[in-house]
Amino acid sequence: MRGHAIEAEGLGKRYPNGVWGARNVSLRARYGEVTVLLGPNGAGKTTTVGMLTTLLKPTKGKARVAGYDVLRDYVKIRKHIALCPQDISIDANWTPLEAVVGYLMLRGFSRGDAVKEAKYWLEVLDLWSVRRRLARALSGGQRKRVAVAMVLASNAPVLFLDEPSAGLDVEGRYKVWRALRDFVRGGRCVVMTTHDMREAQLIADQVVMIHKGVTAAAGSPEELMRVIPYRFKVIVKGSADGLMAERVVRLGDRVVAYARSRDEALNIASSVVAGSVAIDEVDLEDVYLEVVGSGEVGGHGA
Amino acid sequence: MVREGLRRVWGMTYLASRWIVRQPIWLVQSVAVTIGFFALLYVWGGRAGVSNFVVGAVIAGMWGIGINLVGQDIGWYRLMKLYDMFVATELTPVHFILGVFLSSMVFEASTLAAYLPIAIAFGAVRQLITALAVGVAELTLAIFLGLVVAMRVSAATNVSSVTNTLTNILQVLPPVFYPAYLLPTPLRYAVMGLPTAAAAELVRQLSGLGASVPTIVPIASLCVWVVGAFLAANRVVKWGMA
Repeated sequence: MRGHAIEAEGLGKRYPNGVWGARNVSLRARYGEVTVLLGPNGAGKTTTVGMLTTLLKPTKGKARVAGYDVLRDYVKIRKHIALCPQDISIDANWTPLEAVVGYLMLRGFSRGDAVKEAKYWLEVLDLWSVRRRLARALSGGQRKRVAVAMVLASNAPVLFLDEPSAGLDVEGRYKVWRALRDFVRGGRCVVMTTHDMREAQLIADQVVMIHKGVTAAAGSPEELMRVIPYRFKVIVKGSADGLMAERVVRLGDRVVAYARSRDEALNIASSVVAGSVAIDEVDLEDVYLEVVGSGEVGGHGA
Repeated sequence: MVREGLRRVWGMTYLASRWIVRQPIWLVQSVAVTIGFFALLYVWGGRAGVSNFVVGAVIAGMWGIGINLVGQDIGWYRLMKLYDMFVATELTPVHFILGVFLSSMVFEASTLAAYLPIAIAFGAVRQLITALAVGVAELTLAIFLGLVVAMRVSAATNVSSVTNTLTNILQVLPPVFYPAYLLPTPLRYAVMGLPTAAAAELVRQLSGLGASVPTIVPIASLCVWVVGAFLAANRVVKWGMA
């Protein structure tokens, strides 16, 4: 599997109530990579996943998934994808083993193969020890990991996960991230959504920022970091009087001032008259704010 | 190809049947109600009562399985987002519905196990076989209607309230456990518009339990219901690309 697993251009979906779930989403996702759709709640991430997984019929635009057109060949696409929907809830009467084996059998696996795959992925996600426990007796995080194990075990070339780490604790998130990285190493493609900038930065090979149903920016985390000219930020808790910076974002009683270098950040910090100061490197969150033009932005802090 | 198709159906059946495996007490309830109805009809109607019980039990059972169990199961899958997960696979609507239906047949099998000996003991085997044959049409249209309800009710948590009401009213109110000829003549024709009453009437006529209306009436009614329910299901059931 080489090249692009997904190519979408100008995708849009208008629901029967007239609301546009996505307006103009364009993205490319390669095999062997994790592509993260990043954006706040209501940005259009789930609608985009819905269109790419053939749940929703696009109102406009075009897309190919696994080499097939989403409008013409959607039945063929389904053989090459697996979807872990947002807020999925596995049946309380299923055990983790039954959930994975049943899902694989309904995808055409023999029982023997299904059990083999289930064992591998339940072990990877640290669920093998509870494989015979009913879902109702599992924690919320374990149930979520079972749903992730179901789709991973399918070995689908293109895997979609809508907010797979929502509701997981730190340990659970890392288990899922590790599993997803292992999964793409075999040449498969993972597309996942999140509104967690840190998660995107950690796991993504490519990030697609979606804002108000439109692709706002796309690229590797490193490429996106170059969208803004700043490398450091000075977080001031207290008064911003006397703060000298080219770009300042006010967050209520806090102020974030951006600097191009460490020296500049130190200068800004020393210009703070009152309040506590912390210096940090910029991250995707700062890029996102820049790209979507959010926050109360100004200069020189006055 | 065929083997994979069977695996898909079996996979769906496997998942959909877990709750019955975990809570077999539902089967006890189902069998107990069957035996209770048999006792009631035998006490008041003797052998004729038992024959009518066999007709009613099969027709009401098929109706309940189709509209209630299948409709509810699909409603729950929608609620839990498993429906979306299943759509984004090789599974087809036919595999999905067949799988859910087969899992529901555990109930029918358990009640059949209860009334088969009753039918044999009281000479109602003819009624049983005829009811099972007509019940296939009844079940088919009930599954279609269950699908319509499951897909049309926007809040999936409300599916049960609609399907339960439809099930109970059409099982016990019209002439299903009792013959339609006990009703006044104009009402006999009116109730033939109800699918359960039409199916029960057809079974009674074909198995020698008497006729309330010309045979063509229940047949026409069932045909209209099956076609209408199929068309309605075909219109509302969305397997992705919504």
